[in-house]
Amino acid sequence: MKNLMKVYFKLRKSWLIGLYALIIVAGLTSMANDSVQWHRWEKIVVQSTNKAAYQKTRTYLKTHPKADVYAQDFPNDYQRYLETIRMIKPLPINNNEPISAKMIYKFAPLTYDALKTDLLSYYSEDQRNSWRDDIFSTAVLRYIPSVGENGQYTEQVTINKIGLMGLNICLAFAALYGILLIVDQLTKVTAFIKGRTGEVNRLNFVQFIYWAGIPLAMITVLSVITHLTRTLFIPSQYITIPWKDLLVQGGNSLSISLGMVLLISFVNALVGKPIYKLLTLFLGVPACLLAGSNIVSLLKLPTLNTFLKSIPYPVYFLILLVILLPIIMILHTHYSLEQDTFYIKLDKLRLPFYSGILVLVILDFVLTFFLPNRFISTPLDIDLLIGLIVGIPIIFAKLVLNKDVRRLVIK
Amino acid sequence: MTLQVKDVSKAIAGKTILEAVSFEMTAGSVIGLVGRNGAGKTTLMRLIAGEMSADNGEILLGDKGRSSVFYVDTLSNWMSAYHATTVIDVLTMFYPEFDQDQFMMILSSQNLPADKTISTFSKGQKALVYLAAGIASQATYLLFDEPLDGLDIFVKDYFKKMLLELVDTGRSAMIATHNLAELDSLADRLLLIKGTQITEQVCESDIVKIQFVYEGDTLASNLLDVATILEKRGRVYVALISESLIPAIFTDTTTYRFVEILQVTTEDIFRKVLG
Repeated sequence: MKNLMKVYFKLRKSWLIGLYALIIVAGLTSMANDSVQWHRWEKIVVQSTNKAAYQKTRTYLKTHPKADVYAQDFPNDYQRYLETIRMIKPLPINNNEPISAKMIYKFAPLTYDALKTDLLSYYSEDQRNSWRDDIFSTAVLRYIPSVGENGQYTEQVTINKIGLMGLNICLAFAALYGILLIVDQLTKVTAFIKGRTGEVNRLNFVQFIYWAGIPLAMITVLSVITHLTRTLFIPSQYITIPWKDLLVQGGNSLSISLGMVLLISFVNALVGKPIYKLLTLFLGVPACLLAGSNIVSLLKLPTLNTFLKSIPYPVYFLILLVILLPIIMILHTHYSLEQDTFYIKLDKLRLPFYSGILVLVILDFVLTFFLPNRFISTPLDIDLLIGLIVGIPIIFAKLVLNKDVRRLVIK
Repeated sequence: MTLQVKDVSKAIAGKTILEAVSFEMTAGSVIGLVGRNGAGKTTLMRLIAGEMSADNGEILLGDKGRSSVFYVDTLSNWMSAYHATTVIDVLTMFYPEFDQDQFMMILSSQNLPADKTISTFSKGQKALVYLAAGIASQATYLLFDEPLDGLDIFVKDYFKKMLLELVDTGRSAMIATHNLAELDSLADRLLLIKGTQITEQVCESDIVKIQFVYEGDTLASNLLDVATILEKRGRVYVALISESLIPAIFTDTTTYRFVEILQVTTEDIFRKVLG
């Protein structure tokens, strides 16, 4: 194993060093950027707000409890504070009750200093809770409506979230890992290692360590360092590190990244030809998600949906790990170079894989006709669906089973 | 020391390539591996090298295990993307006895730079790098797939010289090639892949190649029964026949004229067995 680690590093040294350097540079840049953005935000807050105006706003809200906060004639100076209050502390919205001035008055910080602390607090409430709602974003927006010579405008900055990384970065790492597996296969590194060691499980583990394990560990360490060193750049009264939230969000990021890496390892072990690996991954994941969504819709079980959403990401990852890891190891044990030219590497798995495709076609497309909340309006929609229902089984019969369905039909 | 291939079978995409193949590769010999295109020469080498897994049978590599075999796919392999120095680093990990000095010495004797990416080398230069790597690996069994293909005469000569030198040190080489003439001066043994089987072509000492002119319309059945006609150009025939039968058949000098005995080559055997 140690030898293999050394060999792989020798083979991919420049790429790996490049990647690790990139992560360190990105981490340090992010640190510096956080500081710059926060100080920009501080300047905006100091310039755009003041004690007297805030107290006037509070007084107005108190004396006009039924005022329509969305009305055109609501004073601009006061509007600014409404926006900021709602930005840093999401209002407990009750759909049956319109948002009134009284409600905001109750919710607003008592003093200007308290408001300022809330606004400048690096780990504000909006940062901590927004991860699950908007997992593609890595930053939160801070803004204050202002009035200048050219009328009303919004002063805004974006501040990095507390989580390790957004879904886009998780996807980037998973994609990089997948690409490197393919590169190793195409450059015959996998075949060479198989010849030298007799199997490819250890190689896959080494690939995982270098392309996913070490980068994710580096990101985690850099993230922790970033949080711990914030007080060097930002006054400490605005820094209260929410360790519990960090742990939850970091766990979520890592679970998603590792889950995707696991899925890619599985596809890599199951599928031979690189182009089919990409095809399987890019079509398979959305197809499975769509099938799940259709089943939930068809069964009309909102509680199931809620239940599925309530399960933490690390649990999903562990389930995937328990299911996929043994399969990956078994597939790797049976690896032989010629399998790289097939769609599904093992002959015995071809029919089950094709059956899985048929099931997904039924769940994704045939089921659509029976879903209560699906609206198939135009003939084009129907044609498209029928095209997919007929076309996908034909194409994959040829690719996976090497069977030409047209000939079978003619016969 | 012997590398043993025992009852090895391999099917690819449902097609049997090799079936219950058995042979031994003894140290200190050069084996020529011949067969028609797609016969399974590369598959056999990949099986021995461990890049492919056999469906049945076993390959016994001897005491040194995997480090006793060296194989590089000459068409596509991991080495191409690296400098010779990286190749040394990697191979040293898998071949504990890898002789770096010997490797560098071979490269420098052929004016091959160690700090240049191997993919930028010419075909012949690449072949020399693979040969150097194989020799320096100290592996007992070296497998070369079409090593002489497209090489100039000087590179070929150097390649052969190095190969014969390593055989003298008790190591073995297997050469798969279509260039059968090259095997005449190299191979001690010849393995022929026919169908899904491998047969060892034992040099039948009394088989000779004859060239003659035949004056009749069709060859006599007494000749066709005992000879393999390799070539026919007009009335000139080339055939393989047992030397002991020549006096009995070629007594009629009016029908058979200008009978000449030639040297039997690997190509002749190839034609005889696989033609």
